[in-house]
Amino acid sequence: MGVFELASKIVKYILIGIVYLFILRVVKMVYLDISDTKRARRVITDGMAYLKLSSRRRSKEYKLYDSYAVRENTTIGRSRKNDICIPDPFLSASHARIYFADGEFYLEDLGSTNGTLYNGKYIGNYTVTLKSGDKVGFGNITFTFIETDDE
Amino acid sequence: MKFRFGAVSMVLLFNIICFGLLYFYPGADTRELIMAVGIICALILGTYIIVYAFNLGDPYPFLTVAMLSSMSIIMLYSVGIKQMAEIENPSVSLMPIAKAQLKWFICGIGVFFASYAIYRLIKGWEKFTYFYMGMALMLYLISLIGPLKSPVQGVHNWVKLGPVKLQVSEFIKLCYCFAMASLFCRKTKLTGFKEKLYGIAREDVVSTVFVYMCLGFFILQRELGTALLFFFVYLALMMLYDVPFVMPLGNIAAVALGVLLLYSMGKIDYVMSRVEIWRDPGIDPAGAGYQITKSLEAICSGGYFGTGLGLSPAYTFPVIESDMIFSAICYEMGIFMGFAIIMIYFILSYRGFKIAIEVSEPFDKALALTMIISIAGQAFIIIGGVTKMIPLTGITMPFVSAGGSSMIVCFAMLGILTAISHKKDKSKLQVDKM
Repeated sequence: MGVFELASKIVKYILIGIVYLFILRVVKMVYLDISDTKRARRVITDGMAYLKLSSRRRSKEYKLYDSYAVRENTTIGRSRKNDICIPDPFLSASHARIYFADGEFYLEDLGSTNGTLYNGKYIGNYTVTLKSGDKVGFGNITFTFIETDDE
Repeated sequence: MKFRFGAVSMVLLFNIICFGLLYFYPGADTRELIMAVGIICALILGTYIIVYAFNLGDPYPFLTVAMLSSMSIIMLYSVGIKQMAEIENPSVSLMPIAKAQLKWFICGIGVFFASYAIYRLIKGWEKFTYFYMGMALMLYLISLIGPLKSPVQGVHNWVKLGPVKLQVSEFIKLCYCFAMASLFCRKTKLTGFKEKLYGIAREDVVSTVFVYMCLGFFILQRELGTALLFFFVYLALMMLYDVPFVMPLGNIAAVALGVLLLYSMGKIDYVMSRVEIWRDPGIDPAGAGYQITKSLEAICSGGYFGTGLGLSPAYTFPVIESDMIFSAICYEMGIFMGFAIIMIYFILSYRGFKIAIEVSEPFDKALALTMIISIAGQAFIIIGGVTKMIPLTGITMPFVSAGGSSMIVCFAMLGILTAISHKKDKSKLQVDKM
C-alpha cells in the first residue's frame, strides 16, 4: 500500500499539470483557427485589384464578404461557376465580367436581366474602363473598384 | 491538412498515467484496467483522426468531451477499486457502475457517429415541430403510467426497457431542444413571426404552452433539476431572439406565481425543504442535508491538489457516481481539477456559440444554441448545487455523471453539433476557392 500511496501523491500534481496543459493547447488551437480564417480573408484582396463592398441590402440570407479579388479575367454572378459568386436574387446566373487588357481593367455586362451600374449609370452593352475608386453595382449591391498600387 | 496532435495526446497521456497508477493498486483487477485504457485511448484517438481526416466538422467539442468522459471513467474506477478493497458487501457496488460507464462511453461514440450521419442525411428538420412535441408527450406518459414505468425513490422518471433502465427526462431534453429550435428559427430579428393569431404570433403561443406543459409534467415526475433547466433554456432563447422584454419578465412572474400557488396548497414541500437545506445544511446534517454536507466536506478535505487517486474515502459518500461526481473529483484530484473542469465546459460552450454564430441556416443556428445552452446550464446547475451556490437538485453532469441515458443523449447532441459545424466549413471553403 505504501508504494501506491507515495506514487499517487506524486502523480496528482502531474495530472493537474497535464489537464492545464490540455486546456492551454486547446485554447491555442482555437486561437490558431481564428487567425487562420483572418489570413484566408486577407488572401482575397491579394490580387491585382479588388472590389470593396460599399453598400448592401439589409438581408442575411447569404454571406457577403467585405472584399473580392479581381484577377485578369473575373466573372461575377449568381451561379457557382463564377469567380465571384453572390447568391443574390437580383443577379443573373452570369452577370458581368471584369477583364484586364493593355494595362487597364474593363467592365462588361454579360446580358444580365437587371443590368450593371457604373458610377450610378447602366452600362448596357458598352464596355467601360475601370479606374480605382469607381462604383460598380450589381442588383442592389454596390462595390468600389480598387486597384492595388504596388504593381 | 496538418494534423494537430497536441491536445489529443494530452488526453491520452492523462488516461495512461491514471490507469497506470491504478494498475499498481494492491488487489486491482489488472486485466480489466488494461482493457479499459486500451479501449478508451483507441476510441478517442480513432474518433479524433476520423473527424479530422474526413473533415467532418469542428474537432474541438469532441476533444473537450473526450477529456471530460475519460475523467469520469477514471474517477469511477478509482472509487470502485477502493471500495472493493475496503468493504465486503457494499449497499451500492461501484465497480459495476464503472464498467457500465465504459460500455456507455463505447455506445456514446457509436451514437456520436450515428446522430452525425442521421442529422446530415435527413433534410428539413425544422418542419416536424409537432412530431417532437408528440414524442416528448409520449415519453412523459410512458414514465407516469403504463407497464414500463419504474419510479426510483419517488422520482417517476425511469422506464424499464428489458434489462436497461432509462431516464426519460434526458430523451425529453433532446425532443425539447428540437421543438424549441424549430419554433424559434422561424423568428427573425427584424420581422418577428409572420403568422399572427389575435395579434400574438402562433409560434409564441405554441412554445409557451409546450414549455409550461413540460414544467407541469416534471413537477408530477418530481424531477426539478430538469424543470429548472428547461425554463432556463426557454428564458435564454427568448432573450437571444429579441422578443420584447415583457416576455421573459412575464414568464418569470408567471412561474413565481405558480410556485407560490403550489406552495400555499402544500404540494411542493419537497422543494421548500431543499431550499431550507440549501440555506443552512446544518439543520439536518444526517438526514435531508446529508448529501450537501458530504459534498462540501469532500471539496474541503481535497484541498488544492486533492488526496491523490484511490486514496480518499469518497466511496462512502451518497450518490457519488452521478450527482456528487464533481465533489469526488475535487476530493481526489483537488480543487484545481475542479477549476479545470469548469474551464473545459467554458471552452465547449464557447465553441458551441461560435458554431451557432457561423452557420447561416436559421434552424441549425437555433438548434446549436439550444443544445449548447442546455449542456452548459446542466453543468452550471449541478456544479452550483454541489458547491452550495444554488439549491441542490438531482441532475446529471453532462459527459461526466455515470448513467446510460445521459451519456447517450449528450453524445447525440455532440454529434449533431459537429454535423452543424460542418455546414460552416462549407461556406468557408468557398472563400478559400476564390
